[in-house]
Amino acid sequence: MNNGPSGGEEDDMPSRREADGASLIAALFNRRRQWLPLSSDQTKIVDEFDAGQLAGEAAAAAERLVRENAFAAERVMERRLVQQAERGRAPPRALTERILAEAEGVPARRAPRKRAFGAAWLSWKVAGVAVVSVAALVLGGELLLNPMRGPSGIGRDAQQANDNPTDAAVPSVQVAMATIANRDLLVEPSDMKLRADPGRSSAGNANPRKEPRTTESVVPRFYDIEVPSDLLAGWMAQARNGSPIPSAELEPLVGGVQTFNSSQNVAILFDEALQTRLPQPTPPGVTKQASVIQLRVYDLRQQPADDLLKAITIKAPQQLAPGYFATLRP
Amino acid sequence: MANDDISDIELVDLVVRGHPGAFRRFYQRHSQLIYGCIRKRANAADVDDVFQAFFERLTAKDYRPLRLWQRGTSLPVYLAKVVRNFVVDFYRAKKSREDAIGGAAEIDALLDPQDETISLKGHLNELRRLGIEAWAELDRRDRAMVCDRFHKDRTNDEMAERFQLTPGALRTALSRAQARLLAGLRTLAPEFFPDSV
Repeated sequence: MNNGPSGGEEDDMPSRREADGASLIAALFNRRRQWLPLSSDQTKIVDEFDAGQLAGEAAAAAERLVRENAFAAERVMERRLVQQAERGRAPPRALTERILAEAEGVPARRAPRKRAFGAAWLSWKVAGVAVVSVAALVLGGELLLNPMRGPSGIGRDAQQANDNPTDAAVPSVQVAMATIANRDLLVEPSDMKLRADPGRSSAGNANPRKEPRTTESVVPRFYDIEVPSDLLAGWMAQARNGSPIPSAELEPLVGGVQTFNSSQNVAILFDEALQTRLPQPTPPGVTKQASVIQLRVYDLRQQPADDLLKAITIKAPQQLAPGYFATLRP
Repeated sequence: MANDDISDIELVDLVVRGHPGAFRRFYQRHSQLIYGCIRKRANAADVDDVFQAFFERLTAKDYRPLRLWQRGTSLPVYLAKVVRNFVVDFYRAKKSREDAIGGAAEIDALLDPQDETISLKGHLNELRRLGIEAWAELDRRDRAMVCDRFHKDRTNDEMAERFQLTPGALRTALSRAQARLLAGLRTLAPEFFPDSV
């Protein structure tokens, strides 16, 4: 076993300076062999290691954890960033008030900004308005000329865009409830599958807890993510109603917008079994507890998802093209 | 307003949905981190300008960087990376203006996280890349020691034999190599380190 140098030159207890180095260097040399969320005990170990409170075998074990588990390394990075920020100066009060006022739409005196001569006219606001105007014109024209390209595929979005121009740039995704006849299909020895064509990149995973190997020909069969129970309950309610959901809202489920193109016109299916994980409604007057639900999201768009597709029954009046199946994480 | 009763995931979801008060909450929770990261990267005279520009851009882009954040990964780590990109772009745009090329760069790239920015793997890769840069600046013996210790996982006994050092001398040499590596890393990733004294 490697004792490491962080034990100091003679003392068993590392100095604060060396302990700083030990945790960051362990993160630096993280091997990404594990992508497992830390338990509360592991989090405590990592925190104590980073704080220089461990020595001997405990420190060595903590270092191994940080070097093996990507989330432990991330924890070290996060702790260090937050600690350094807390030790530093806070933003000036006047600046804070100005930023909050601007963000919240309250007129505030703009701080004088140092601008090079000749570029002042090209302020971000002017440029932003121009860009937004052009984008609105292009998008509006596109929707008017080709309503079938709306994410719902039935031209409804174009009609809505005409009724409410502010919604013109909000793509949405069809969602529906579903059941699966054979849950054994959700558990296979391998969580990877071959894909026929390039497209979805591993870098855009909704959550890298199951970090895929980074070859172009392989994509994960599913993704494990966590979503707030309130958010999931809202999605499922809309799925029961057959209402589409703005795709931006679904990013936690299907990854960043660069990996999920709503124009592909695919639907997201929610397993009825998820209902069992939703917390019971809170009685009036009782403080609501925030909770997070662990989901497993299967990508149904690539072969070989045929078995899954055959076993899934979609509860929707209209024909849908299943894209993802969100279910319980085992 | 209570500031720690909801998770970052919930907070960011509220912000991107435009929930009343959510931006203020986000600001209260993360502004010091953002300000600190900017302070480490920007010239002292520009810090407030960059900070204000960051939030202007964030709201102007309808919180796109927050939408792209992968839930389940660390928001502070992600924000630090976004801020770093922003500062780089800020100075790139500033230089473009000063070179009288025009201000287009100011509009083009700011606050657009790239693919590698948004995953935990990307954050680790970035730290690794900076670490390799710092490692490359070490002298030959330091490089060999760091490589043996952290890449090849050699034991202290094996290393003592390879470098023909006593165990105590090895620990001293390794400790100093590690300190020099960190000193190099400090210049490349200052946000992970305390202010210089």
